Amino acid sequence: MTLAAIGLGSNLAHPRRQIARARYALTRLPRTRVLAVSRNYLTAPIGTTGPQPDYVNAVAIVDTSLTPRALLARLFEIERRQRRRRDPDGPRNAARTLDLDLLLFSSRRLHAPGLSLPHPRMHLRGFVLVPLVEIAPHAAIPGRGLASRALRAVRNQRVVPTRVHVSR
Amino acid sequence: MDLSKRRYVVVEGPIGAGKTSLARELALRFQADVLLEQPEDNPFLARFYEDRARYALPAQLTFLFQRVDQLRALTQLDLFRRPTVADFLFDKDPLFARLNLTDDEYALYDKIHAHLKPQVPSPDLVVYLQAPVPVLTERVHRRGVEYEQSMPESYLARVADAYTRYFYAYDDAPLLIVNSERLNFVDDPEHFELLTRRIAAMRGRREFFNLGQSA
Repeated sequence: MTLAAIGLGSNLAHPRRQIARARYALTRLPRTRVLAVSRNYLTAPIGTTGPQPDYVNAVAIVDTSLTPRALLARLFEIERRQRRRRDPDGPRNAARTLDLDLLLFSSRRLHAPGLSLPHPRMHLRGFVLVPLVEIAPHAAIPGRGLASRALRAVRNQRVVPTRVHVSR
Repeated sequence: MDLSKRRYVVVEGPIGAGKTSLARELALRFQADVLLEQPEDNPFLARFYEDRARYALPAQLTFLFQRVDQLRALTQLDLFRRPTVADFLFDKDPLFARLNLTDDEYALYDKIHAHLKPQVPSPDLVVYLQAPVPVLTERVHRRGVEYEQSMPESYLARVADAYTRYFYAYDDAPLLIVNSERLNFVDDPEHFELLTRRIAAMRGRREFFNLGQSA
């Protein structure tokens, strides 16, 4: 009933496999249908100290009758399931292998603890805008105008499609 | 286009016309809710395309109940509180039933339909996507849904013809008839903008939109 956009990102533990698993997990969400998923894109991490592997990013459009909160809770659940197992001797906050962001929820605009809609920084992020515009070329971001226009403003960010999908 | 002035917009047309893509794009642009068909939830549809005579009735009844359920859910959710874009008219159901059922089956279908009495609101605008049958065939092949690949062109032609006749007599809502043959609303931003401007400017009960026509 409501179209939502979800951002997927990973840069640890076989990122493309993480994204592929997350894509599948989205198809199993209750009261939700996946309408489109973008290709995978590679993005070099920006603003990090020390070297980090590239990110793999994608965006999915779903049709859902869940509330934004319920959908977000389900996304956290998927993240949790795919979080790297913690090594008891390792650092306390083991890095997350998967990030799922609720980017858009139709016209919904809200600022609440833990949930802002639309995602407050999505219009600045090439790795969100490129895959979003691939599958939803005419999408608008509430309060920000067209996604394609926002994309033109960040075209200096390097976001390149990966060659193939990992099918699993 | 200000969709808020049109609470309920329906994109219709034969198989392969591009209804779902356009409905989705309109909803994402104008932040409307969507009401989309769920063909993948119809367990008889794939079998229907293999053996149309045998599986037409269960496929048709499944769609009928699916639509009744969707309507019920909408009614509970305070129908069309937000602008809504749909990729089907509820009338599509009897249209396909007439096309695919034998007379006896249709009589049965009709009884069930009358019994369920779906209370359907009239749309504020219907966008009817037309395209020549070879174009529809090519699009159906290109989108590559497995069970649709065995669909003969003759069937698509009958569906397209049924839509032509249906909309010839249609007068429930303002109707924009779009010749989508040379239009690509998904990939060509100009085509999409032209269409939305055309919708915004529409005042009559029945208008036509072709490529090359000014908006």
